[in-house]
Amino acid sequence: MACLNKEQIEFIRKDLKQRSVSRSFLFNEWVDHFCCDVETLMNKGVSFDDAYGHISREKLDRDISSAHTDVQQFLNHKYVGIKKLLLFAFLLFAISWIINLQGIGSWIGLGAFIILGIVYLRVSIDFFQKRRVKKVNTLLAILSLLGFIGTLSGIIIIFLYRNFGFSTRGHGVDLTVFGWFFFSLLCLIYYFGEYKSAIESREIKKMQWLGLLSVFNVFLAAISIATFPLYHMVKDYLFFLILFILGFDLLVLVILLATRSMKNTLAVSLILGSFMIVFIHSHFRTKLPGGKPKLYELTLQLSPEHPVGTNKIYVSMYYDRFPDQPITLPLSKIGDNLYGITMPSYSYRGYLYYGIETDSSDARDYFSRATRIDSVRLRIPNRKIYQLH
Amino acid sequence: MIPRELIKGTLKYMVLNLLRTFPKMYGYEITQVLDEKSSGRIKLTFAALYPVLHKLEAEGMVRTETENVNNRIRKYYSLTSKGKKESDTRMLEFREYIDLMKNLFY
Repeated sequence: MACLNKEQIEFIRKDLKQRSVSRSFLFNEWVDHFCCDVETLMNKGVSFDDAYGHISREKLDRDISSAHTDVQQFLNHKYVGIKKLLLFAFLLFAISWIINLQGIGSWIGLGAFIILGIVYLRVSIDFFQKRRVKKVNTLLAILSLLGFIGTLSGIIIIFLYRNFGFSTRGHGVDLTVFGWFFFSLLCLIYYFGEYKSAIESREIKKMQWLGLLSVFNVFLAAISIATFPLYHMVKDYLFFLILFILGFDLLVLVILLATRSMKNTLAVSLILGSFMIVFIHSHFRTKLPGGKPKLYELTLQLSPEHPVGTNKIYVSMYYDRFPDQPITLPLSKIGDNLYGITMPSYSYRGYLYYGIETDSSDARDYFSRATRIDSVRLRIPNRKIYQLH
Repeated sequence: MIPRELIKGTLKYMVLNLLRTFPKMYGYEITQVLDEKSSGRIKLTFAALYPVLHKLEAEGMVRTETENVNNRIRKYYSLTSKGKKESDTRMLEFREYIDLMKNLFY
């Protein structure tokens, strides 16, 4: 019974490494398969060189590569369906901002994020189904599920806030960013595992790069989360953080396209998801035609017994969540004792408290002085004329 | 030779059935047993066998264990308890299907 020696096995190992076998989960199995084939021929009296030459010719590079790709696709979650779904979500997202009139406030925008959530859920189910292959897959399934819950619940809350005036206290933003964080963490763990199992130098470099990309995304998501409790301290710098994240995502997307790495579904999901989530919280959305929300008109009618006599009055108000940050809006005269301003459908919506003055600085100081007019609860938009006496 | 499409569609059943007979098998052994049992008419390729084995593993139908054999690592596949139950059901379904095919064609 012929048995290959260490040198001969090493020769086969080296040859297989050069023949498109790049991952350890298949490598050992195939080395054994090749060795068995060669030993069978050697048992018939063929020399090692002839036997290996024959087996090599029989098992074409194309077949090896195809089998390798099949198993790798199965294990690496490179599903065509998920990728198509993801690209469809991004397309809807782009349409909702470019064509639609309300951006995320629209059903198309909501649909884009629901599909993104479904992608995360699909990934989660996929990892859960493969939990027996690797123990870590259970953890990855949980992280992806958290990504799904965060993204979907966050976007629904934002949608309800912008369209129906639900008081959400900004938690929609928190949840979507948490969703992004969990998905980044998933990618980090996944690509680290892939890096450890890679044996071919090109594959090692690729996994190294995708791993670093995931690390950086975890870092960016963590910084974004840190801005929530530190909002008052960092609010002036948020624009730069958002600008950096969006720029980074676009750059990575271009690199993924240029290096033909779009087949890495998880990496693409991470980048597109990160871009979509950060973009809806940025000011850039208003720069696009679709970013401009519906405008409503707020009209105040002052009591005719106390004519103001100016062309502008100033309304100072604050959102109940930030009482220390009143804003001052100028209302222009649009008729006798009638003053108005247009505002986005979702802005200043809900219960607000305001004071009215003929001078903007007086209006700003309104809250620090004795109340001259009662605070009024204002619900916008009701297309009402508010009468003040 | 049996057409590749037919082998591809029934390979899962062949592997499950083999693993019901043999307590544990490795990839090359599966190809050899099938080759022998089919008198050389079923020759499995890499591309066909390993995706099926890995899929069965992911579905929890088979478990794997590795052993060092002659200076190389060998991966053995065996049926799990879930795999045994499932394979009983699937084999029953498959036999029904074969009977149906017989009735249809002969």
